[in-house]
Amino acid sequence: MRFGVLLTDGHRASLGGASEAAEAAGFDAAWISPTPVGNPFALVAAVAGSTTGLSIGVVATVGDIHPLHTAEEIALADHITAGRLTVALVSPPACPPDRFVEAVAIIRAALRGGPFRHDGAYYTVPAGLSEHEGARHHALVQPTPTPAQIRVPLLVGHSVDVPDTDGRVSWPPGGDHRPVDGRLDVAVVETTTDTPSRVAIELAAYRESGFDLAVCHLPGTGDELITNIGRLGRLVLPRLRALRLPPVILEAMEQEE
Amino acid sequence: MTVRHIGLGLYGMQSPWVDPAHPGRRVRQLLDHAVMAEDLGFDGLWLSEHRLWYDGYLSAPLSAAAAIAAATETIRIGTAVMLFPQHDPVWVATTAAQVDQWSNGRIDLGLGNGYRDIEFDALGVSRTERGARSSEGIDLMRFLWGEDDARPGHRFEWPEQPLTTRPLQRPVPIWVGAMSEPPIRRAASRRAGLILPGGWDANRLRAAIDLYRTEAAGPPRSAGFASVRFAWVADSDESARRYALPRLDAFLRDQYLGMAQLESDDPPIAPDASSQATIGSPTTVAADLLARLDGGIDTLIVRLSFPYADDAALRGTIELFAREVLPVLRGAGP
Repeated sequence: MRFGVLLTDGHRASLGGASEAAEAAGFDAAWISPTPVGNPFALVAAVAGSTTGLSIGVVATVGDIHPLHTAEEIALADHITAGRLTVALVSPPACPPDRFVEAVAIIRAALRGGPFRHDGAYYTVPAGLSEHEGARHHALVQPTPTPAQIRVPLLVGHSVDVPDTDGRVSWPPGGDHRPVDGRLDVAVVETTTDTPSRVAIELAAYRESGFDLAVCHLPGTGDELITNIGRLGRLVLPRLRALRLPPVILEAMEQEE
Repeated sequence: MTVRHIGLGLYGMQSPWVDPAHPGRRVRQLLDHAVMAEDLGFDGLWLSEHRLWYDGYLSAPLSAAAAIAAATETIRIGTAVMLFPQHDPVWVATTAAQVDQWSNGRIDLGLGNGYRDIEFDALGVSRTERGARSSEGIDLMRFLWGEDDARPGHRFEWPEQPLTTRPLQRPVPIWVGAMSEPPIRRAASRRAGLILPGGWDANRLRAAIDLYRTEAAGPPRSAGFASVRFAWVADSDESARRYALPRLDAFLRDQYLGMAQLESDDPPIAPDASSQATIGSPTTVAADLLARLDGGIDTLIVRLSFPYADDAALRGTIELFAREVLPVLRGAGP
């Protein structure tokens, strides 16, 4: 299993600092959540510029803006990160499930690179409005540029069944989410660094149940968050590895605490 | 008129037939040029927006602006222009506020109407509503940012809660791209800045600004009067023309074809590059741009950067402009 950190603090300096700290502390991923409001894709550049190999996740709310706009944001963010992007598409509370499924279908089609059209209950793309004289020869749309990756991993929440996606994410954090074999299963975990051994055992439980990535939501913002990321990397990640070693090593670590 | 801002543009991250590049390389080039422009003393770097263009035209300009903000410290970051009616103004207001915060208050929000039917049609936004969407959208953003108390119109839904992220600048410089009278009036009645076409001479620029002054209750709120102008500078007039004219002609032809993209049975003819651009030695270029400032503009967005010119040549002309032309323009004024 891989480990990541969740970044919710929107200030440029702390985003860069926190993601840099995460990479240095041995994490595999930094995920950006859509809080407080606004465009999480605009945060990607600060994380991309401060790191070199870290996988970058974005939790994006679908349906606030047109799915074509979301696809355009994803494509640019994938180039800014040089293909390090994973996107978790989540639904706003008031969004009907079938509308969410449609929006995701449009985003996937737009990222695939070929021309397409979509006729659904909620969206018609292109709309074919009669006043658009200049679009009358255009039954299809072809968004450009295509993303850097052949296929940007698109994850969705576990409560909706959405075709043609790459995995599941527990969002909002703490929901009932069981991993499915062969898919990318991501758990977002509320984490502290107070009792490293216990946190390691908790995270190991996610590993044992088959999750591929645990994204740790640590307390604090700014410098406090950076300190916590360092502590988690220094104290918990080695203990997680130690859980596979003979018990005597873990006991020794616990005594250290 | 004293010049208040000389910006470098326009960056659309295009990869056209004759000068194809991977979009990732365009990202790199954009950020490298932003850092270079900051070091050379340009006041701003300006982006543009289109969608569903064959050449990968930048369609997410505010995220590109955020990338520039992360790579630079002081240079202003503008859009000339963002296709405002094609977006939800609540989303633009929140994203612009975020980017303004991270950039330490460096955003210039240039808003245009857009003109390609296929862009509006893809999004299901009627092109006939673009003027009204622009007007109400500007009012709504200023309301959401807490700049204006007046309740905006009924065209958009907006959150009842005030925005949690407000822009650092107060007021945010809003500019309206204008090629005709209605947008000039829209800008004037809201005291937004103007971004005028580079093909206009000093007389047309002056007429537009006079119309603005007649209609507006005062000067633009924290913005100004801008013109976007293609330019190329080299050691001599002849070498500048020899390099830039055929490339700019090719670029304009490509863009006019791309713009038409089978939209019309009678596609528009590309204008001649020599009528659209200021090309020559530093002395020639400075004299021509000074004459444009006489039309009353206070902001020049110099289009030294366009596809079809290779990166080494672009850097050369940008550096030469900064060394030889910028000081002359800055020295202008009463």
